[in-house]
Amino acid sequence: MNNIPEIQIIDNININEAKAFELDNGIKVFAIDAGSQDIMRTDFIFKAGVWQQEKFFQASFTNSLLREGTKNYTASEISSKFDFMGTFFGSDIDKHAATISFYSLHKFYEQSLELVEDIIKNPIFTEHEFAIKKQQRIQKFKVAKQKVESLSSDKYFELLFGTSHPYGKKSELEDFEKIAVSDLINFHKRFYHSDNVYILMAGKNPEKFIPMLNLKFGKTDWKATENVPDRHFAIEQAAAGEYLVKKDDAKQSAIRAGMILKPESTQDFFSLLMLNMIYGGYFGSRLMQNLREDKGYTYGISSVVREEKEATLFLIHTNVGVEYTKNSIQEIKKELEILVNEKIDEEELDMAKRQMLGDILTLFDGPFAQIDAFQYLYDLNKDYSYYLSLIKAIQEFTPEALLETAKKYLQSKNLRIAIAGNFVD
Amino acid sequence: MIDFKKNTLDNGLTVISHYDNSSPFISFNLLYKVGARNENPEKTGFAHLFEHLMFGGTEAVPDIDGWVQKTGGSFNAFTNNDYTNYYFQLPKQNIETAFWLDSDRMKSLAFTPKSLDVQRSVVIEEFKQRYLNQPYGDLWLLMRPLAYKKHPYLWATIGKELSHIEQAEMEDVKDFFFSYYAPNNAILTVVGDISHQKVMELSQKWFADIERRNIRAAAYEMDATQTEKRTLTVEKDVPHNVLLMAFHMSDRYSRRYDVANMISDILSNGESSRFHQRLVKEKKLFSAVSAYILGSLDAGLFVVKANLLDNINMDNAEAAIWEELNLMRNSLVDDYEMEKVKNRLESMLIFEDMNLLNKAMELAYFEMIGDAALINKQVGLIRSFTPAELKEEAKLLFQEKNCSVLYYLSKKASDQAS
Repeated sequence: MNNIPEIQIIDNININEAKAFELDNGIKVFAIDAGSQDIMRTDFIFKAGVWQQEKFFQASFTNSLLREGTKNYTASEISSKFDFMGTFFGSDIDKHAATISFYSLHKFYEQSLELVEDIIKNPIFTEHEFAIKKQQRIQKFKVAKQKVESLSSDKYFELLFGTSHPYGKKSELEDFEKIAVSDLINFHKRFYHSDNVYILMAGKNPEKFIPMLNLKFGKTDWKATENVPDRHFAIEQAAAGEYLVKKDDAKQSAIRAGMILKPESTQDFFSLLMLNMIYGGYFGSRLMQNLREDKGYTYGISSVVREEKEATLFLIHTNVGVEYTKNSIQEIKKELEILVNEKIDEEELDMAKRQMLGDILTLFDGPFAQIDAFQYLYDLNKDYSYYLSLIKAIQEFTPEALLETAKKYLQSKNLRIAIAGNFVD
Repeated sequence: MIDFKKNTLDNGLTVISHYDNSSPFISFNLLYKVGARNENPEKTGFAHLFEHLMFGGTEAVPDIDGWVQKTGGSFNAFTNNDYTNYYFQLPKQNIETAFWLDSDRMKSLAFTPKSLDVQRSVVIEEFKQRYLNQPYGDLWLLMRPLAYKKHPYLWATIGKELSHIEQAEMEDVKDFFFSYYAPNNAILTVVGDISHQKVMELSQKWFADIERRNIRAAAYEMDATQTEKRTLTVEKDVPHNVLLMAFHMSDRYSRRYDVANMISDILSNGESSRFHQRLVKEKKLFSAVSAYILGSLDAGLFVVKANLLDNINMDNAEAAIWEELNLMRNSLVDDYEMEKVKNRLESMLIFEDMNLLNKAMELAYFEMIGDAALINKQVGLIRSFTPAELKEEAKLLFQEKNCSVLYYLSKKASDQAS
């Protein structure tokens, strides 16, 4: 019989930091130099997300139509050129940002960049392309309305933020009729310019490409043309409790539960990350062990504590058989109450600490992960010392201190619970 | 070029390693050559249920996930119709734990009745979550038995029906384990900052004492050649109509397989592909339409899946797809289009190589289908295809008598029309 292998605790995480550059017009560029393949990922991050839009879908249609025709190229020419070079172009929006990305081989970087320049600066937004995109989106929208996952998620964010806040607002089918090409042209003009963007790069030797970037994007030809004030929205939380979106034919209920957290210090936030880990943050977590591995109510359950620009969220999500809906909610609450009332066992804490350190290690695994980790910091106005403080905090957590934090923030009576599906006894 | 080394232990375990120091993690991948095609037709879903049970612990190591968590790493697995693949990604200093845990669960099994009970229930919930409680979730549960009549590909990995999982017994579990889980039916690949010598040393230390087992020979029948078009029409409470077409194609071991794959890329890989340009954007028939191959080891399926826009008639939709398929049969793809698809595929392979786990899985996969060295021949293979070869393959594939069609209709859409 062999001895059980010794396991070392991760105590040393090698952080490959992004290097900062600046184009002639002041655009900031942050680059990770890593990897052995001759490839490069480049992202343009515009402050042009859901937060900035005045109508539903304005941000996303603008973003997704950029590649569908420019002053110099038709949509199909653009697609053909990208595909011929093996360049992967992507666009995406989230709450506060619109992203344009491309992944290319070094040898096609310059040609790809030339196309991307045209896409960002000179899109033409035709009725034809808009109509096609709109039909695609309507179909997706209708499919989503049949999924318990999206129904519960929509309800959950509405409960937390209210119907006039961009995080909680819910679109309806009619909203597709209220948006027009002119809204996209307008949105592009207001938000896709050199004073509203930063650039990220990740891959081998990004420095080599900075002069090319500067040539295409570093001039003053795409400055802001008007001054757009920042927008502010008030959060209107619904009362704590359970809210059901009934779907009679559902075989499973989707449950989204949680609350807005208001950590008073970074230390408290770190403690909440740790408490979440133990509660529902990994396979060995209490929720997973209880609802899946002991009771078989679900294929999976997890929870997350996440800092967003406007709020720190605590979110539990799972799908459970409709017949287990009631019991599952009970167990979700019960586990939270245990977290608030009982000290965490030392051994369990040790395990979760190790898992959390391992998770931090994955944040720096490879060039793409490293640039994502940088972006997280940058968007929340933090620097790399954040991770060092987190690692130190993890090493120092005690059951006593965590219990105090749990009591302060994680009372089950504050849970907002959105259920889409059905209760069956 | 992926530089790897390969050895086989006396008990038949194949061990492959590839050195890559770009990550603080090492990827450890153990592939068993058993999948849903090895199941008894009356007890389907078993290979996958079994995969769940492999995480339930053994007599020696009751708490397998606790040990993985202590390393700071992660582990998981997947099952498909042909094979079952277990993998660990552990911080490199703790990689020996993966050797220990995976050798332990290859050695013996000690599943408790409780573990079987719970995992039956978990898999039933997975069945609901992925197949029954999703719009269009049952597309493949319907298509498989239409396209296959005898071959076990006629059922999905999750199983034919919930009752098969509900009825799984401990005896079945034991029988399955000793028939398929053995060093001589497995391939281990390790990719990361670790030398081949060290990989072999650890493999020897942890796996060498596991006995060779008799692997149950595959006992299923192949389908006879299809001779006429098969169709199935269903009406469901979904928002839009879907058209799903499946054509029988070659097995994984033939060059024809890769040619068919390239045809699917000509038709639908990338926004500039024919389907997207002509059917989505010019003719405005579909919100999305794709062509792909299922990727199975025995004779597989070439698939076309289309989401119809609301005002589009099913016959017109099908005719438009046939027009594209016939074009593949009747004319040669021009040089620019060939080059474009080849470039795109080659670029994809380069990006995939950045991921250690992906390389570990690919090495094991290619070893399973014949030789791990195939991993380095993919670009050359893609580059070697000619327009004439594609046309010839299209002629074999795209025949009405070789086609199964599922018309998945929206109740709402038909209500509106009537």
